[in-house]
Amino acid sequence: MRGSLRRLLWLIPMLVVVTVLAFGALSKSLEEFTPGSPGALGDRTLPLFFNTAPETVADVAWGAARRVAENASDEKAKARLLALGAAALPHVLPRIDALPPSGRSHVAEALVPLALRMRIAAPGDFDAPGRALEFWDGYWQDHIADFRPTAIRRVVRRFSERATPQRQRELIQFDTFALPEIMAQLDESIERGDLEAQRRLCSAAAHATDMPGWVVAENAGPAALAEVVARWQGWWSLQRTNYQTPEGFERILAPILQTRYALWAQAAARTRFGFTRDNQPALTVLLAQAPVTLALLSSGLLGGTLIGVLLGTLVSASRIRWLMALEGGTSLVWLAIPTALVTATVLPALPAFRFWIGLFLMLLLGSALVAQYQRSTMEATLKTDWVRTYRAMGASRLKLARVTLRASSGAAISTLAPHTSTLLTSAFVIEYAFGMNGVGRQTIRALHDRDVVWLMLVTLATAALVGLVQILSDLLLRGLDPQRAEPDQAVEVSVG
Amino acid sequence: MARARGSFQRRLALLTLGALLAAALGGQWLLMQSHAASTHPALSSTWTWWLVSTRNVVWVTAGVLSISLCAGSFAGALVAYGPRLFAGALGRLVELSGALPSLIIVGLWRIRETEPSISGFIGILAALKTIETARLISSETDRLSTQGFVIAARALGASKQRIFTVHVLPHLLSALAVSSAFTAAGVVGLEAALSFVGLGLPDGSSWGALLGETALGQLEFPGSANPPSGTASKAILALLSVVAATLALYSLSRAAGRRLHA
Repeated sequence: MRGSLRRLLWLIPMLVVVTVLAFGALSKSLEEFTPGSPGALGDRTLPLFFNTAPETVADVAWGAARRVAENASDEKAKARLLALGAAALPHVLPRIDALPPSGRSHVAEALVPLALRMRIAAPGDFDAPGRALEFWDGYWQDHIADFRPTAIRRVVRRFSERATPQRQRELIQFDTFALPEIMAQLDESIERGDLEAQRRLCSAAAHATDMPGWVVAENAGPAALAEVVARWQGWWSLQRTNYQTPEGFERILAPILQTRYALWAQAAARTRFGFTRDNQPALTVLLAQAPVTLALLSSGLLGGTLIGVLLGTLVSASRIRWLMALEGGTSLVWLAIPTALVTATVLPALPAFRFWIGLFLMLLLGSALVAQYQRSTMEATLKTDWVRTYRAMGASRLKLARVTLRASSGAAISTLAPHTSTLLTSAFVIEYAFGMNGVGRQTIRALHDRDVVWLMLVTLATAALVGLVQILSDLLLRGLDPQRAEPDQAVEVSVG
Repeated sequence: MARARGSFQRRLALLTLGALLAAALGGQWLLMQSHAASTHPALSSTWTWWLVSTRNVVWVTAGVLSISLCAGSFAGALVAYGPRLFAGALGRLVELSGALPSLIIVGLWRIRETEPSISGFIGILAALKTIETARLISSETDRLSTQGFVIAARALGASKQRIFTVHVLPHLLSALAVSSAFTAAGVVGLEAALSFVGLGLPDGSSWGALLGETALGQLEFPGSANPPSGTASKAILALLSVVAATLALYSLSRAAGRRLHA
């Protein structure tokens, strides 16, 4: 029991390591886990696992402003300033005098589209040269007191309670500076179950971030609303550091938290593992498709082990050489031949029976995997003194098989966990070959589409499954042999 | 009588493997010829296709086997005779590699590759099989280290290296021979499965790829009266090749295991 508990505890760090490795492998397909996508902050690529120089909003905003000041045609820096939106203003406008005169004008000009988005100016206001700098200078002097958390909180709360045009105008003026409060209010409205507030806050966030596609239609139902809200929550997990300066522990842990892995973990935790490439909630899809895969796996793992143990025992106990050679040879051929493909070729006209054929194939594969181990252990068991004594006393071969079954099946049970991953590969291929709607089919598609969300979820789920099977196999081994001291010391045998 | 039958089986197995090796060399020669003429080999011809596919499968299987046997034996010996750290590391590696289906591991690796290559494919499969071999070697070495002849050698002052190379390694060959057959069969099967789902060899010429194409063709056009020409013969040839290669390997490994055990 202590060993099983230890394995269960070890499972958690192992899952973390598995996700870290999988994340590293997927690092070339992680554009969506860089802050700024969707949006114009895409060129700000975070490190994968450790950030030696974490940046705050102030650093990013001032860095972009300086680049625009030095080179007015730096479109990337301009786009970054615009994407940061009003969240950049408290970090740029008070320091704008530190820039050279020409640089100030460049920055003010770059911020003109933001003024239009915030609806604090009209296009005609900037016709005269140098007007932009004057405008921003005046704006900041007039509104410096408004850019405070308490003021924002009041504006957002009023808007979420009732969206009058006046309140909407007030909120739009704060643009992305209001995002932290919008998201906080969104969480509160979810707790309250206030669907209207959620709808309003989503539309406010969509306007501030210039993502008009992420609003909820007036006639949309609760399910569609929940999906958009979850999407915003996931987005905020990834983007938060662009708009909000970390404080306290978050600031201390910034080298770890401001990495793509940490962003993925936060988004996964908030949105139940996010959305697949075809915009489906990943966990829901996994839960819907898991029964098919689990049925195939159970057939191979449990049914196959049972049949393999019996087959290996009987073949060994019979001591008929040609039968043993036949069993070994067929097991090997069975492993080498992609049975699903052959069967799909030979039996294409039986779509109604594909599921049952799949189960049968998994059963055969599972038994082929186990029979070799069972035969090997059984041969060793038959050479032990107590079995020889039995035989000398006239026990029949069937009786010998029966009495040695328990002692010799340890090896087969101990291979349950390693065989789980092998059988999962087979189940995935069978699903793909037979067109079954299981996890494998979706996973193979995800591998081709580089669907990071799905692949991370499946990686985590399969690793957890293998870990749980390992614990189950330990418990079974203890049941078979109560004298077994350590579940870790599972019977190790060479195959053959 | 039994000895004569065993000898016949061994010869037949060697003949089969020799034929496959010759086919692989033929495939290599074809590829070199077409490379020199800056053309692609005509894979529509059944025999040309079989030669090139056999060359790819033999190349992959031989590569994976040789790397995994050498690296796995070395790693297994390190675990058995090196610092405890190695044993812990191997244990964790086994758990990690066993935690994920090979399909996902290879798939993730293929996503990383900017340009898929046969060597990359061999590398990732060899890494997986190396861990398995290292585990087998370390557990067998542990078992053998309690045997009288090893204890005697240790008592006579033999070094760890000498004990392993002179006394333990010869006893491991039997297990390695048997394990090699299963590794080879596993590689052939895995390659076929991966090729079927589009994650196999980059040029797509292998026994498994053809079987996959045939299976998918049947799924998409069940009962098609006009299958692509030569597909059925290629599929049968691929299937026969897999069965022949596997049985030959099995027969040889059993013979080697018996001889080394004796």
